[in-house]
Amino acid sequence: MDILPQGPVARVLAMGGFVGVAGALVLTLWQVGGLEKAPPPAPVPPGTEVRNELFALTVTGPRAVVADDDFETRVQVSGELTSLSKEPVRVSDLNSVFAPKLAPGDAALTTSSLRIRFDRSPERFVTYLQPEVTERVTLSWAAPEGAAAAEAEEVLLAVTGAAYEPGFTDQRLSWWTDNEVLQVVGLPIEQG
Amino acid sequence: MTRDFRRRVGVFALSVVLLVLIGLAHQTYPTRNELTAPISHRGDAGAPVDARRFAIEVDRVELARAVNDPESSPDSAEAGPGLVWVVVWATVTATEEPLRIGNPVLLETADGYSFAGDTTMDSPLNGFSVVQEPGLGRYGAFAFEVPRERLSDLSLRVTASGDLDTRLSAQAVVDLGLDAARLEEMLDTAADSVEIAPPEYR
Amino acid sequence: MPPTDPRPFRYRVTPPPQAPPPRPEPPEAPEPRPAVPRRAPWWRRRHLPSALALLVLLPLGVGVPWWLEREDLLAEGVMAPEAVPVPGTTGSLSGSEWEFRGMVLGETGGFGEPLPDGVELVDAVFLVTPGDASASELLLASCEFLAVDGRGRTWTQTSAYAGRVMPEEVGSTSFGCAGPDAEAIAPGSEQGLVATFLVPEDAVDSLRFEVRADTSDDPEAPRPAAVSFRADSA
Repeated sequence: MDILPQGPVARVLAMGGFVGVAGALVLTLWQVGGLEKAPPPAPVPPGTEVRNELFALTVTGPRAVVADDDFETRVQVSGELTSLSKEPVRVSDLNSVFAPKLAPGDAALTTSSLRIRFDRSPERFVTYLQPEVTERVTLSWAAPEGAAAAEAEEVLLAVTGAAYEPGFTDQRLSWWTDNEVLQVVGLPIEQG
Repeated sequence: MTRDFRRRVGVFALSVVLLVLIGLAHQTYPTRNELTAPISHRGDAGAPVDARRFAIEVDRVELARAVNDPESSPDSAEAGPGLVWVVVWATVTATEEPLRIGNPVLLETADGYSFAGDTTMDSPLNGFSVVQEPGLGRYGAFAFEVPRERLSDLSLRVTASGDLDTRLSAQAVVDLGLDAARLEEMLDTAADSVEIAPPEYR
Repeated sequence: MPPTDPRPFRYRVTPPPQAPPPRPEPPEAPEPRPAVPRRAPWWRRRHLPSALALLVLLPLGVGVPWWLEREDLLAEGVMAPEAVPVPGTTGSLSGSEWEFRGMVLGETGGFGEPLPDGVELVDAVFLVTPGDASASELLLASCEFLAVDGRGRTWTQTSAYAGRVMPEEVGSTSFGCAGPDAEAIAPGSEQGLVATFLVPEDAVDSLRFEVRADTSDDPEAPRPAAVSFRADSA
């Protein structure tokens, strides 16, 4: 019944051989770049739907707008958003799922500054997305101080996967990014 | 087939069974959310539901195409396409200490969907400035914007606590007693607009 | 490298069957016991010392962490301090002298809506004198009022009648205790304060008023304390 050889020396040799082969394979994989992180997908123009565990979003664009909104400059992106959860989702739970950047220069926008307004009632301050209700929305993030926003030509909006998991310090379940970029939408900026 | 072989197969099978059992036992381990979930008390509309730290009595339910809260905005809020406002009128009374109703207040449907009560208006009972003081019932509304096709066997889930932390707080789940037929009828006679007045003492 | 030992190597060695060991001879009649008994005393045999140690250590093991946690929560102000009842109408709290001057009922001053049925408007009137500068800072930073009835129900101050016109010299109690101009009360000077509550009518007869204030300016451990005055004491 035994597959492995019986003698202790033979066993050590077999083990050594296995480790050697496995090591050589990993080394080869590393040499040809197989252990590198996958590059983020190339930016696509607005109009393609992206779907993760939490929502379906079609960035409609066609442009991002940098405009004053409630005493601060915000970068605004239009889209069509549907929550896929059967429970209401707090808007702040979406923070980490978006990674917006300004290009050129790669200045990242603060993810926690995300705000969502429904286009049908822009004066209401949305705190929850209702289950499976599709809304035309404006997503916005605070623009960084200084010239970065004024000189930027493009917004690169990365949308990542989402997972319902316990937090690190607060162990209660909540939605978090799974750090896998599903889509990057590139939108030219219009200064509003 | 030696005896030794049969014994090994037996040990292997037993190990697999034990591993599966360990996996199953692990599945039943409560999550942090379940361990600290609010403590629920169930009841029906039309009678007080005692959730120990507070009591709630649902008085009536209205459907409307728009709601209007003069305290927060002169304009009324129209329901979005395919949506309708469900306004639940109720009296909430704290028992021992001042409480706030925590968000989200939920309107739950028979098919497992739940909708969050509106937080953009000041006057609903879940407004941040509304404090429930012991022995002083407050009569007011909760407002929900819900897709028409989801209206069936609605129930209301309200959580209240002394601070923002709702872990292990008191919760009431009130069956609103509205079946699909009754809701259909209410949809046909839905009001154009319902005014959400600030809560009053009852 | 061939094994030098011609026998095949096996991890599991089954010993060759052996004849069972010979049964021991049946013991002979016991010898007469020695004069001194060799048995340990009963409390030793019953493990009494271990049981006693457990009896002491187990409550300590549970009680000490509980007590430490409680002290922390009280120091941070997360857990409400227990109010010390004041004999008569005066008491001291975190360096200030407090005097309860009495309670006024239903004085809406014609402001706003009339009181709803079964609801009473209660004003509790106090005089406070901070002993020194730090006491007056603690008052400004932290003082708070509660009404408590005989059943233990508690009420916080209401803002429902905040628009009433009060006498000019009455201090402010909305964010800490301050003078009429919302500035810290000068050390050694007497300041009148009014705390306002809405309570059900059936609570009025058994009301007590609690005043809470921090006793330390350490933001991590403000160590709030509280005193309570009987409403019918003045």
